[in-house]
Amino acid sequence: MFRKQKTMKQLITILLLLTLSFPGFAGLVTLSGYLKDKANGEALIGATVYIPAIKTGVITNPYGFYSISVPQGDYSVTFSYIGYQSQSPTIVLNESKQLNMLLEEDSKQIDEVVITGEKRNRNVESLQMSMEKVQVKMIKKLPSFMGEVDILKSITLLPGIQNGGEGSSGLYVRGGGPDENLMILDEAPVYNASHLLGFFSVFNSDAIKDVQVYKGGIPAEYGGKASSVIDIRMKDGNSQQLGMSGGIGNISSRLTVEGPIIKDKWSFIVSGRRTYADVLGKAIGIEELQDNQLYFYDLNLKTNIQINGKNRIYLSAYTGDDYFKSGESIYMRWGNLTSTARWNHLFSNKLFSNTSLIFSRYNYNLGVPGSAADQFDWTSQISDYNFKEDFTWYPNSRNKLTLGFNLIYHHFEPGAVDANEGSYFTDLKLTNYNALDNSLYVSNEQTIGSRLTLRYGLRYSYFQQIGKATVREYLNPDKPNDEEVIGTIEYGSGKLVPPSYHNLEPRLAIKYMLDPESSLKASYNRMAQNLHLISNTNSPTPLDIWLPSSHYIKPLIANQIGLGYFRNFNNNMFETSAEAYYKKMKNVIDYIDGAELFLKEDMETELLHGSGYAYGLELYAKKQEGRLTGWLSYTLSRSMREVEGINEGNAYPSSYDRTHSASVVANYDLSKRWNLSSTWVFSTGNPTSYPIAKYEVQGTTVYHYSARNSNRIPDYHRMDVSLTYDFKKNDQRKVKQSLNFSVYNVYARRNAYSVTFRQNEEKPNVSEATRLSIIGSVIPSVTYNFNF
Amino acid sequence: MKNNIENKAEDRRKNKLISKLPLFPSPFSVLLFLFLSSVLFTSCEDVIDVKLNDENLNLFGVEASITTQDEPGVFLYKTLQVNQDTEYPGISGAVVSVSDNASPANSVTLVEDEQKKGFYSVPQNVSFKGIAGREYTLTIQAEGTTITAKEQLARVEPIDSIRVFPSMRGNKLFLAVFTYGKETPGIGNFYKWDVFVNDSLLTNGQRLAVASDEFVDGNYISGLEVYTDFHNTDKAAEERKINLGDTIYVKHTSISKFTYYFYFQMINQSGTGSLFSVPPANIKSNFTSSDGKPVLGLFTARDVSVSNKVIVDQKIEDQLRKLK
Repeated sequence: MFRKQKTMKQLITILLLLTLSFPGFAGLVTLSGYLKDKANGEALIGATVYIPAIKTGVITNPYGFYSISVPQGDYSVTFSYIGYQSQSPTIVLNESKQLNMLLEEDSKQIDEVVITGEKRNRNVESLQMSMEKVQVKMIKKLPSFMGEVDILKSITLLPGIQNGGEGSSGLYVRGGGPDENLMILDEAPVYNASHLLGFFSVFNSDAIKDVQVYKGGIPAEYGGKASSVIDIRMKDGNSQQLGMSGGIGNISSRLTVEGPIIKDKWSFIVSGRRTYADVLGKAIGIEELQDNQLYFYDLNLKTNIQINGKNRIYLSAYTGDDYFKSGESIYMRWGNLTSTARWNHLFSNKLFSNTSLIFSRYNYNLGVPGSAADQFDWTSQISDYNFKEDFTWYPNSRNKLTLGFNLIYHHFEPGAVDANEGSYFTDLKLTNYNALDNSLYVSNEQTIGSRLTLRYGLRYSYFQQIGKATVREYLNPDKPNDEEVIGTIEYGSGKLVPPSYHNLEPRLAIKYMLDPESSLKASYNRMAQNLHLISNTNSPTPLDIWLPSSHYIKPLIANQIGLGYFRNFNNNMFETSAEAYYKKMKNVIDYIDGAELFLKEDMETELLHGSGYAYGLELYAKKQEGRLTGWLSYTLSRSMREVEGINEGNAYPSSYDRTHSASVVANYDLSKRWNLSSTWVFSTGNPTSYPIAKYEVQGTTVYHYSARNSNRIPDYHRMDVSLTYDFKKNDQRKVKQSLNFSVYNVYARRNAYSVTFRQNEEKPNVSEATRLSIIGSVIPSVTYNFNF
Repeated sequence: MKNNIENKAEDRRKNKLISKLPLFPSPFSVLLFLFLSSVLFTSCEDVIDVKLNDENLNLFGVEASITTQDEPGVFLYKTLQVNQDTEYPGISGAVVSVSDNASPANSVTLVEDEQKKGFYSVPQNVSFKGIAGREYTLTIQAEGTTITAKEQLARVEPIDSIRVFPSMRGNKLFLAVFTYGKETPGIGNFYKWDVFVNDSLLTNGQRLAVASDEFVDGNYISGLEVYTDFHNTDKAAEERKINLGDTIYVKHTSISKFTYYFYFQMINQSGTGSLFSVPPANIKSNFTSSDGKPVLGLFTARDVSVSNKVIVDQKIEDQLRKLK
């Protein structure tokens, strides 16, 4: 430990020295300000501010802020953002200046060549590799499932990101598990991002402005999960004029109202969505729905107030629930609640700060209603209280220093059963857990010469459970067993429960420009994860619980290196990249055969621990301009696990292993009104185990397996098509309307979700391989969208 | 084709529903989601060809039991490859014995049934019924290998009664069997219910009714639904297992913790492959073998309490009709 602290001190000293060793140029002036969308005042995240004369630039932060320090002079400064018209005003910089720029969306017309002064080689010039920005506008044109465009679904079209097929809610990023993704909505973690079996995500695309997905080279400001970061930012609300937008689809409707309270200063947005399959179903007489309820909804709220040029406050909240009730026999509800209060403050035109107070909760309850003998009500929840402070300092045009800290208090209530007097169930309450999860980071982005850019950073994370807690002691602590408890240690309320986990997480990113159209990038990151989703089902369920790192559960550590080559062609009309990565994981959790994870105290007896590794090659080609846009992506990868007690200790393919996966996304403007879009996806079948022997117990065939995951279910492939019609614009009222016709699974492939063996009902001696397809046919949908 | 699929799905659902016993909750969620998916989506099942590993394990399989009511019985056979569709090949010529832990110990050597190869039972005129509180050891010597298993026979609280009346699921009524009785105080009791219709065992195969007292310890269990006669309500007559005039009784039995988890895993494994089920895994048996190879199967020792008999009369039948 002492050694670690020493290393950290040294690193911080080096970081500071590196930053400070660049003497300020005489007569340095600073240009700073915000970049916004001209039409609605939304901040533009990740937009570029570039000064060609001195070949230096900066990108806007998540609040649209930029700051660049240059020697005095007259400069042509280019402000650009994908999908927006660039502007290149000449600015006289005799002194430091604040300049807020408003960019206008490309109102690109068919057959018209769009001339942009700026070179769109963001992917080549940006330091960040293994990152994708998802444009909500773009995915709205893609084919939808049941009329709902979904952000998380579209992310799986990118290289290196897979899921378990239909009905599977988790994302598998570069061979990592579904609980290894830091999914944050306005900085608040969302613990269960899926609605209704994972067919839909909780992110209503109408309320979302920007999505950034990091698969590798993860910057130091992010931490807490091992595999990826999915940073989702809600819209701020139109600060220019009152607007309304929405849509009506097969299973749900959406409505968003946004507008200024004080123009340019104070705006709000309210966005909601609810499914009505249950209501419609009853109306058309689907028998199963007569006495049942089944729906989900989402509600996003946000307001932001610009107090003055230096201070701005944002308040945002999200809530959403799934609700299911089957007659009088069972009910179930689950949902997230997040809220974030943020304060942006400019200490100077070079020092930006953001302070966030975040609350996040996930809970569920289920039970049997009424007062019969089998009545019970069962609840479970996890809540986070989070304080976050981030600083960005732009000392000169060659350095950008970010630092900050994050204090989190987690409260877990894994389960409580409450039963009436008449019920035969006994009240039960599992022990609650609390944990401190604090971290500190510093990172510097530095440009050296005209070709090399570096970002080096370090994150320190500390995690410890706090009382009340009871920790069992086992005869054999490496193999905890219910029968071998030799004692328990009690910790009072607020007492720290050993052990404490300290992790140093170095982060590194390097970019080297080979020529103006190509670059080489490399990255390294270590991530420590202290919250573990306890689930041994094929797909995570809403009922799974999260457990903190503890005496028996060590933090999951992932080390990843990546190397990439980025090259643009044809004046940046085509973007291509090739990335290779290798990831090593320590303290991976798996489960003993027949583990019981349900309402279980002292879960350590059901767990196994091991390691894993994953590697892959990701190829990506994208066309961004012209009538035909879209991309091709291909991933070759492997994800293995090695756990003592599984597969005789030999390495086996993890459930997230996909040898090949590919996607084709094409979007074609047929005319000014019609747009045709299509996606095709392919992936190697999920690994599974087929039995090698059978025996019987009470007339039932039971199967016996050999090597874990040594077989594959059939390959998955699917094509979706959509056609969007934009109505003629009404010039007076500026109403935009469109109709989207989508067809999911065009060629009606019965993609297997699983293949399992079952006894034939008539001939019990015969075992059959049974394929379960969640979607076995073509699913058409229509959505009407409006906006004014 | 479509109908067939639906029936299968329905049947699968039935299997899940029986697990709605004193918190068998993980199948709970499976039930929910199967329900959701069948309502909203076009999920379907069909049989396909897959390539299996060639490995032939040829392991010993054993199914053995002793109860306080019945004489011990053992079936010894060899496991089959998955694509073999023959009967399990019984093994003749084994030396099979059962003993208890009383002092002095009692034991019996079983003899092979002349009609059924591989089936071993007590010799004529010998009785060796189980006694609650004792531990039983099964020893088998076959083909140069010695196989043993031990099982504790725990006392079961006698059942008060059973009743048969309709259970409402969604908007449909199905006849169900409910048990009443006291649960023994103290955590660690495990139960299995065998439902008999006209003297033949109903809870066959996957429709296992087992439970632990973890969430109901020491309570009076009033109306525990141990069997629900799910059927396609459009074809009521063909599919019902319980019909007018049938005589129903339940054997309320104790099982060991090991056996409970064995059945628990069997139920979980029977649903493997569905959305929220566990991955395929081997179920550990309570047998050990001198050659170190796994022996597949189960040896159970149970205390049995037989319930009253209920005849499905017109009154019960009418209740079923009333709300339809």
